[in-house]
Amino acid sequence: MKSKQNFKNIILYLLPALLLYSIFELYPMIQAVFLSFYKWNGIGGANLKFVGFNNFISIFQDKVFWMSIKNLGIFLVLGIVSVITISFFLAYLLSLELKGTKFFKVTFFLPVVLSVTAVSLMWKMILDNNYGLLNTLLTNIGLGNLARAWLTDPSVCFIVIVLINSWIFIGYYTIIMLAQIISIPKEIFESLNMDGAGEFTTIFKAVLPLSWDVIGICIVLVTANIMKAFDLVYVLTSGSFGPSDINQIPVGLIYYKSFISDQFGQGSALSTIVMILGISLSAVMYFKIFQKADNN
Amino acid sequence: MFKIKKAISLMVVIAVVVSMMGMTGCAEKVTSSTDQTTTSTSNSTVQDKASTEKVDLRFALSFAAADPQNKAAEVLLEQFKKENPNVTIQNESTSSSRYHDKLKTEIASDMLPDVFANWGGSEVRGAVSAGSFLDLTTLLNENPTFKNDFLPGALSGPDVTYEDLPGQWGMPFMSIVTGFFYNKAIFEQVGVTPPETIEDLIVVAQKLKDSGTIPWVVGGKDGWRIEHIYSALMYKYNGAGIAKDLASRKVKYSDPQSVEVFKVIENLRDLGVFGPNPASVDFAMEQNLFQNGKTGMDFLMNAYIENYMGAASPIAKDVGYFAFPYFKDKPQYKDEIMGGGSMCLSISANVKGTNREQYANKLIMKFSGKAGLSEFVKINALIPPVKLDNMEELTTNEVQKQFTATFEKATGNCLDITLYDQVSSMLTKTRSVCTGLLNKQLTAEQAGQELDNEIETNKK
Amino acid sequence: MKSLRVRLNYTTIIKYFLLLVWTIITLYPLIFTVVSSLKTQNDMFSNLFGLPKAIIFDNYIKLFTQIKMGRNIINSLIVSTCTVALQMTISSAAAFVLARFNFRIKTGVRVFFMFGLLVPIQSVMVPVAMIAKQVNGYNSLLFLTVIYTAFQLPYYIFILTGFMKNIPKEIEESAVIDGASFHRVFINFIVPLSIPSIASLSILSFFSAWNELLLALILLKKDTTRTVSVALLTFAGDMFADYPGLCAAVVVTVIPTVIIYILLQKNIVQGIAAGAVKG
Repeated sequence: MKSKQNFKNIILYLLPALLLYSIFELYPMIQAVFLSFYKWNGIGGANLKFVGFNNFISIFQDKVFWMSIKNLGIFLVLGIVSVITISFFLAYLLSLELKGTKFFKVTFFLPVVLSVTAVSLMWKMILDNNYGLLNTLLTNIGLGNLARAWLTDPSVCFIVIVLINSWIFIGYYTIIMLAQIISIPKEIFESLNMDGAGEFTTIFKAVLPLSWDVIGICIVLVTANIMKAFDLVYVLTSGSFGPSDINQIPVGLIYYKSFISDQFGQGSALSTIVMILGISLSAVMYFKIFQKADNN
Repeated sequence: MFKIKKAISLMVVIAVVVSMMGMTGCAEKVTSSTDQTTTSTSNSTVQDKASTEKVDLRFALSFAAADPQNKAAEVLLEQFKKENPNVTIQNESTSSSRYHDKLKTEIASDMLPDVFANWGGSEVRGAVSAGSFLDLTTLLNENPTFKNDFLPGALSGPDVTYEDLPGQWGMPFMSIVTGFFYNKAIFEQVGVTPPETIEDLIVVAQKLKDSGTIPWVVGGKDGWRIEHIYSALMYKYNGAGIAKDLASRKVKYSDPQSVEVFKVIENLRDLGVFGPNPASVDFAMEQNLFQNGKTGMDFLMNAYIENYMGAASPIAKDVGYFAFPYFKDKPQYKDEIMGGGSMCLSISANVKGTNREQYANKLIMKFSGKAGLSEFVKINALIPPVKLDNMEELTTNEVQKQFTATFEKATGNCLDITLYDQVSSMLTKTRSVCTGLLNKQLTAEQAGQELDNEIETNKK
Repeated sequence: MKSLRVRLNYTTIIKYFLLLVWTIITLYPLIFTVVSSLKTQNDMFSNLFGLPKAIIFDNYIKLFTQIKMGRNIINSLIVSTCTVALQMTISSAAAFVLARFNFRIKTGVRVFFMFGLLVPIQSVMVPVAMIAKQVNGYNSLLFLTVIYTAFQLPYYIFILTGFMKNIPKEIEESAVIDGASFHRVFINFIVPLSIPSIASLSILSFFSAWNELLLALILLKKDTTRTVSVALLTFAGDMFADYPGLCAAVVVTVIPTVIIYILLQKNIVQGIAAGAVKG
């Protein structure tokens, strides 16, 4: 009796989530895949023409697509490295419970809660070539030759964008890692101290290894954040992802293909590619984390 | 106690959902009730067709709300509201740089405003052939006075009609003339006069640069700024007919006729004529720099006379005009200009058969009829597509007269270089390539090649 | 002994230095923006680093009279709070079932939800726009709320499931022995224990809905329905490089979230730490 009754309730509790998810997330995903095999000129005119894999071929032949993949790669590598290393060291420093730690905690987390659009606009002003804070500062302290067009100079612009993203989210991961470091038993530190171990040794021989799990989770969360990063790049490049596609990212290209250049079929094909990428990474995450959790 | 908690949270959710729906409803009520109070005292004999049915009309021009050019639009919208008190106009206007993306997105999602500005040409061709634009032929035939007010040829221009798509797709609205605004004070200070040839321009620019000012400011971040320069140069180098030749593929973008012009831009760029890092300056900043006397010249259009010479502009009295210089060895193209074609107003096909259709028609006639266009001439220094009897009194500004003179003198004209192109993404691509060239990401040859590639990939 | 103390002080100074460096990197841009919003354009461009020559509030006044940002802030508030309410209700119900019970299709359902975890909203914006057209969802705050909820579901179900799994079985068992029904167990026992996690996730959900740009940009056409992110962008694009004005707009957009943050920061920090470390 209990099991049957329970099962009914289980379904009841799952239903809203399943329905919402299926209709508004899954169904669009399936539609996007379906549409990738057609050429059509937009929602207005409904002339669908079946073209098989042509859209995919066009995407793979598109220089801009490869540029966006390259940028995604830079984003992931530089983003993960900068976020994880800085967050880890900040978390360690905060774990020492120096005076004022509370103030630092509150401050570091602040950028996380601000509107990404607002923050992007703020940085856009700061990095402006003529009137921006950064260039004026550099000129004033004599480093004028370092001043450049941060957001449009091909050699640095995308890196600048990645770093701004890191600036925004480092606080979030600092707090996560801080919780982990604090939970390390004091005895470990004491015994290492007795053995005469210096600070650096303690960090690398004890704190770091004991934090691998959390670092792993953070890497996964940072990846998720980077895959979804659209607003930041859109605003910083004034919606063009340029100049001349230099700051293009996969989701940006989907937007461009679908809404700006009337190539809906290609936009959908790219959506499919991005989704496959996302799902594969999700699968990897699932096995890495759930295996571990279930084993515990 | 726990029951209460559940009840409370449930009530909170319901309250929030209800208030949210209420709010959206509230919004309409608030906007329409303010309209009611301002127009309830107006004469009810104005329009006999006025019904009491509430209608929402979506409208978009490519001027930002804060743009001085918007003043004329506001005057006309006020008049329209008085004449049609039951209609609420939802103004979705936004600045030129963002307007193109907005237009494209709306075409893609079938959400075009009811009455909206556009530039015709390749950009909206796809939408027209897909049936998103309303054919205005009936409107013209039902209003013969309105129709006959237009100057000969205006109604069949390449911005409002297509050779292979019969129909009237837009009402001519603004004729654009491009030309140089320059800062007379700075020129005098440096000791230069407005150049007549491109070669002279380079000399003038050199002197301006040496005096520490940006010679010729370009908001290269917004692609259309540099694409306009490319178009203007193309017409001075090849005559305005080159646009048709490119569209018919008689000439390729990688042919010398085009690559040589890209090289001219490269040269100007490398000489520092556009200032340092022109691709990092956007249009808003470009205007700001000119208005604050940080640059000697700005290649722009007659529509921006009010911005630079109006009461709010710091350099209003120092603004002068000169026509785009010609190539010394190509004097035959001296009067081939970029301009003429116009921004036009179109109606979305989605209004057909709805109660919005008649109001959309009224609105479009208000703006592109003689009376409406007079407002734009008066306030915006517009060159209208209609014959105005009082042109002389409306044109008081010296610079406005000079723009008009250039237009009337032109031996050939065309708007953007991709006006006749059949590939709808050509305009966006050209603008992107021009920015890339300006930013040293592409060479002249590569620029031409990229454009040809765009044509190739869109052939499939 | 003496040398040890000296060494401690030296390293402590370096640590403070590093912390302060990051504090400056974090706070200075924000402070700069606030200070700049109180200047006129001339003041800002000629006196970039200094305090305002004369403090003016014109930029803020312009925001609320000309641009009418108040309306946009309210819209964002509505969408964000509704998203949170809907999200937490639905996710915790689903997480409860997935965490505390075993049934045949459980793993299947979990995997089913995982599909969407790393799929960005932008990759399906065209189908979403099509659905919006069909159900008349344009300019509808309700539709936007539903979409946000749907896309955040995998993430919150994932975290809440992990958290609820860690609640000791004894609590549930004793509740059942006392005669509590299925629903009672959930509402009176599991939910109260999950409050820290739910509270902090609510805050995250709120912020992610508040800050979302693209879908709001595409779906909200009327300026009376626009959210803050979209209004900010429109405002920024239409200005003649009026930087102080833009700074004011940024500040105004950011203030509500800062206030909520400062009031609730303890919960946020606790909850995230708990959820991520245990999960």
